[in-house]
Amino acid sequence: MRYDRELLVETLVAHQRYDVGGCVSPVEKD
Amino acid sequence: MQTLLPLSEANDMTNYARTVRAGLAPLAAIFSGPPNPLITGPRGPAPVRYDRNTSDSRVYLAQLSAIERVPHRILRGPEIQLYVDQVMAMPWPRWRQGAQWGVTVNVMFDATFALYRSGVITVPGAVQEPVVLHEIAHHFAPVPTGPHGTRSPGHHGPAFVAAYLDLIEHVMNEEAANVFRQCFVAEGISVQ
Repeated sequence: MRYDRELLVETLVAHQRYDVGGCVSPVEKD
Repeated sequence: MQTLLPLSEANDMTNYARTVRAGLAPLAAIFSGPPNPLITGPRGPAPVRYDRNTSDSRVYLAQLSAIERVPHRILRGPEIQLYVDQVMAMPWPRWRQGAQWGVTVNVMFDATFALYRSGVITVPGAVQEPVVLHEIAHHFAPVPTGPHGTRSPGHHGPAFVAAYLDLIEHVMNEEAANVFRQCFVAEGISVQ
């Protein structure tokens, strides 16, 4: 696996929680 | 023969070493023994520090699983805006909110995730096709905000999921939509 999926989702969930009006989506990085 | 240390002191050192070794024994057992469930770190899986039971986390996990299984394009730089324009030009039904307005793509080469806000999609220099469709789905299923700018639940709720699957099916293909549907269901998301 090229990235840590749990860490990625954790970061996005935290961002989504506090970013009013913004909608984020995970991007797989090489 | 000359000794480096007086005998009494050497004995003390031996005892000291023995004491240290005895003190370290439990630690040594931890690092050389079988994985200890009480210890999280390099040896064990990272603890889950987010709520798995929210629509946000479920959609992210389902999407990551689906993208691994579905053949998709990687869009780069200026072609992302062209792709979005083509998608928006498709004959979407009028009830698809937002389909009447265009979407602007903002390529930010150091972005670590894609972001939709008020008709603008911010993406890194290279992005997978389903990620762009995810952001367009936010354009199609806008999230109502509560009073005083508070967020209402449902950022990735049923309206978003329906719009996303609709986009995957019509822009990519039906097989891809079926894989996404299966991954959503596997994460406990209800689909139409």
